[in-house]
Formats: sequence, structure tokens, C-alpha cells
Amino acid sequence: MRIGELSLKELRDSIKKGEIRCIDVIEDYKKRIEKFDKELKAFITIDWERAYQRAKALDEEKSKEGLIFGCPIAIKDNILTKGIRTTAGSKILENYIPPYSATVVEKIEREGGIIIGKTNLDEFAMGSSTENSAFFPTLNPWDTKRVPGGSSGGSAVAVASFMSPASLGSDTGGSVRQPASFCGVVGLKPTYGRVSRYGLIAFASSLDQIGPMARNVEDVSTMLSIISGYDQKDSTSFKSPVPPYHEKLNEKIGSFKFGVVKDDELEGIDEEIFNAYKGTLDLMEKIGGKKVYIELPHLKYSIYVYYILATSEASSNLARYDGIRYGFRLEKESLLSLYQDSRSKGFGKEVKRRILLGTFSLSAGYYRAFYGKASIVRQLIKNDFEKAFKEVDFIVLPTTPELPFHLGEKSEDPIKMYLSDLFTIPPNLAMLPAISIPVSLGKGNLPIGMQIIGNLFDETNLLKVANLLEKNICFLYNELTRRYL
Amino acid sequence: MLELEEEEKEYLEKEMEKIIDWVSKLEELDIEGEEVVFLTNTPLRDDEPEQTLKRKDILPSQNYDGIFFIVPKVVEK
Repeated sequence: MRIGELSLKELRDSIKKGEIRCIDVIEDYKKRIEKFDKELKAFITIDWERAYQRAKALDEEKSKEGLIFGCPIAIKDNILTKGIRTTAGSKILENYIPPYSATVVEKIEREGGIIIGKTNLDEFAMGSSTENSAFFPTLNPWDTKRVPGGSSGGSAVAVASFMSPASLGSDTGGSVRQPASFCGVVGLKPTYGRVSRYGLIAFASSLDQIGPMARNVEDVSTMLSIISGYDQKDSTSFKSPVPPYHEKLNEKIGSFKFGVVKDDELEGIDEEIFNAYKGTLDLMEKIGGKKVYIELPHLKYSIYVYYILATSEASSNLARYDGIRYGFRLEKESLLSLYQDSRSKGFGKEVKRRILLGTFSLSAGYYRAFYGKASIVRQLIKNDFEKAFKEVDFIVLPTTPELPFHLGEKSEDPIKMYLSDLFTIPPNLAMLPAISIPVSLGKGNLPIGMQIIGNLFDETNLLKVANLLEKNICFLYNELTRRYL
Repeated sequence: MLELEEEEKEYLEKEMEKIIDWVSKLEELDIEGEEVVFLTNTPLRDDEPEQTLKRKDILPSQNYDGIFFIVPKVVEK
């Protein structure tokens, strides 16, 4: 038995039965992280002492209760962990040690999880390649000349290269699903409001949602069961019971309908991705689905709407980094230059670009044409989906329009980079849950992911169908197992 | 509030122009008569005192003198 290969459930059960101790698990993961993270750079901060202490304490517990008892979990570095440095990938928070933990972190610890480390991301989750991290880029374990996607690149790489069995990312426009697709793992963005955002460093508050990543649908379901639920500390979290998603996975799904858009809506995507998409649609039919063509007339505007709304919200959310209360501060003669210089030296290029665009969209003369109009079009996109979901149970789209690209390939062209989120953005705008699962390997052994979108708060069926699909796909993971396990 | 360096200004100006031009694609869409439905049903909790974070735990040790945040002098004599 190789510890690194075990799923969350297998790990927990082995620990419960006394076959392995939590400390052995941490020891095993530490070996791999020390060996491979020098190159891949998935983690920004790892507190081994804390992880060991926690493992020891868990080993002393008699009852060993908890859905993920003894399982290491990697956390994206924009999710607060009490006592462990949390940087958001930014110089402005380089030395920030949070005085409290995010609700999701508390929930993970309550179920016996061990926080193994904080993973790299594009600064403030703004990016699609993890190259915008103020510290270093993370590399794709399938091909280290390529990006792992982003912004939750570190969380995806940690899981793909067996440095953690599961992880948390955050998804504002695809930041969980796109890196999951690029790294060949499963990533879920839950319905907006399903998971508390308390303790998630805000980027665009009406779109942000924390989501789990793992190497299989079952582990992602277990993680969702743990982190979901209403939280008094997040007034946008939803008051409805949380079904045990992981227990419902194998319940019969019966016949279902899935929606697809006409092929010309997918014009311009990589041919290999298109073929994998077609293959997935065939498979969906094979497992009992009926294909239905749907109309999403405003879909093509999603990306513009997103870049106006997300940057507007970001420009407001990031106003709190003023060099006064916490974070990076440049001592200056005057208060004004203290603000200006702390922010200007503390934020990276992409963050500044987005603050400027957001400020512009919200400014008096342009508000109606930009923020105002984008808000209305967002509503139209939501309406399109609402209408579609009256006819179908799921919608299938590729996760990304292309295979993982080379480091530096898009750094000089922000619009090219933004287009990487073309298919992942619409569910965020419409608040819908969406999952990316790996379906095949393209040229150069690069993974391809497909996206299934579910109806609002219908994660149960979304995960069920993803699980069924996964069981019918032979995704070749051998290359990574050979290299990293 | 951001203070940009000269060379930063130059490329950001160009890039911003391109990006704004790109998102202006929305102009072609007629939205006459359409409205935004804002989320308004955010729940309120009961107004009962409870223990949250302690003041001393959340205040920083730097740039804070126990009562006030310390900033450069803003009032001239």
C-alpha cells in the first residue's frame, strides 16, 4: 500500500483501523513535498512543526471520528489560517499572519483534517496561470515548461503530484476548474452561497466561491460535504440543509437530459479539445443522458461582463490595503504618499491593471455604460441559464478552450490570458455549480478537462453524474504516478 | 489610490485602451427595458451579544499604540 495513492476515505479508514498513524501520513507526504516541490513550487508556506503536532494529537485521540481524520489538506493561500502566514500571493501581505481561520478551515479541522500547507496563486486570485504570484510561478507536473493554470495553480499541482490528497481553491471566474483541467484533477465550483466565504480574501464578492480539488469525484464530494453550509459570518451563505454528497454518489441517477450549445458557439477552440468534448457528449449519452440543444443567446458576452464586474468589485475590495492597519507599509513623510507608495509598491502589475479598469468602470462618467450595463447583461445571462435548466438537468461545455500553455506565452497579452476563462466564467455569473473532470490526454500527454454545469444548489446530481462519467473514463494517470509517487 | 511610474503609465495606458476597447463589445447589445434584480434577501441574525474575536488578538503589534493607529502627522501647526 502506498500512502500517497490512497483516497481520503481509504486514508481515514486505514488510520481508524490502526494500519497507519497520522504521523506516518505526514511523514510520507513530507518526503514527496521535499523531493518535488523544489521544482514544481506548489506551496508558498509549509509549517511542518504545526502539522506534526496536529498529527501527534490526532494519533492520541481514541475515537478517531471525522470524515477526513488524519488526511493532509492543502489550502490556497488566500484562505485564512490562524497562525499560518497567508499572503494571497501578494507582496502587500507577505508577512501577514491571520488572527483567525476561515470557516472552511475550521470545518476541515473539525473533521480531522491536517492543514499541510498554503498553496501558490496568482496575486489576489487574479490570473489564469499562477505566473502572477508575487513570489514564483508554479509549474505543471505534466510538463514543467507549461503553466498549471490559475489562479488556484498551487492547489491543483499539489493534488496532481501526490503532495496532498485534496485541496481547497477559490473560483471567481474559473480559478478552481481551469487549473484542475490543466493538471488532470477534479475541481468543483459550488453554487454561490453553498460555502461560507468568511476568511476568504475577497476579490469579487458577488462571484467568489471556495471549491475543493482532488484526484477523484468521491473525494471532491467528501470535501464539499464538509465545507458546505450556512454561516452566520457570511450573510450570502445559504440557509438550506447540506446533504451528505459523498453518500449519495452511487445512488441511481436514472435518465437525464443534458444541454449542449451549437458547435459554432465553440468556434476557435483547440481541435483536440473539441474532439474530447464530442467524445464526452457520446459518453454522456451512453450513461443514460439525452442530448438537448439549448440556446444561451447572451453567453458570448460573459467574458466582457465578467471583466467589468470582477474588476469593479476588486477595485473596491482592495481599497482596504492602505498600509495602515495591516500589510506592507512604506514609511513616508505624508499620509497621502504612505497610501500611494505602499499600494503602488505592494501590488503587482495585473492587480494594478484590474484596480484601474474597475475604478474606470465605476467612475461617474462611465458607470452606466460599463458597470451598469454589465450588471444588466449578467442578469440576461442568468435568465438564459434559468430558461435552459427548465429543459435540462445539466449543461456540458469544455473547461478550457486550449491545452496548458507555455510559461510566459501570454504574460504580455492580458486579453489572450483572459480568454482562457471563456467557458468557466458563465457559471460564476449565473451562480451555478460546475465541475471539471479530466477526460483524456492530448498531445504531449497534456490533460483535457470537461465541464458539467448543474442547476442551482443541485450539487447532489451534478456530483452523481460526474461520478458516473468518471467511472466510464479511463484517464491515464500512469505518467504522474511513475514520476511523483 | 495608486501612484504609477512613468514607464508604467505608458504601457498601462496602451493596455487599458485595448482592454476597454475589448469589453466595449457590450455596446452592440440593446438592453432597453431590461433591469437588474439585486440580491436583497440576505438574512439577519438575532441581535444577541456573543463572543467573537477578542480585540487584543486582532489588533496589530506594529503601527498601533494600544489606542490609535500611528500615521504620519496630518495636521500642521
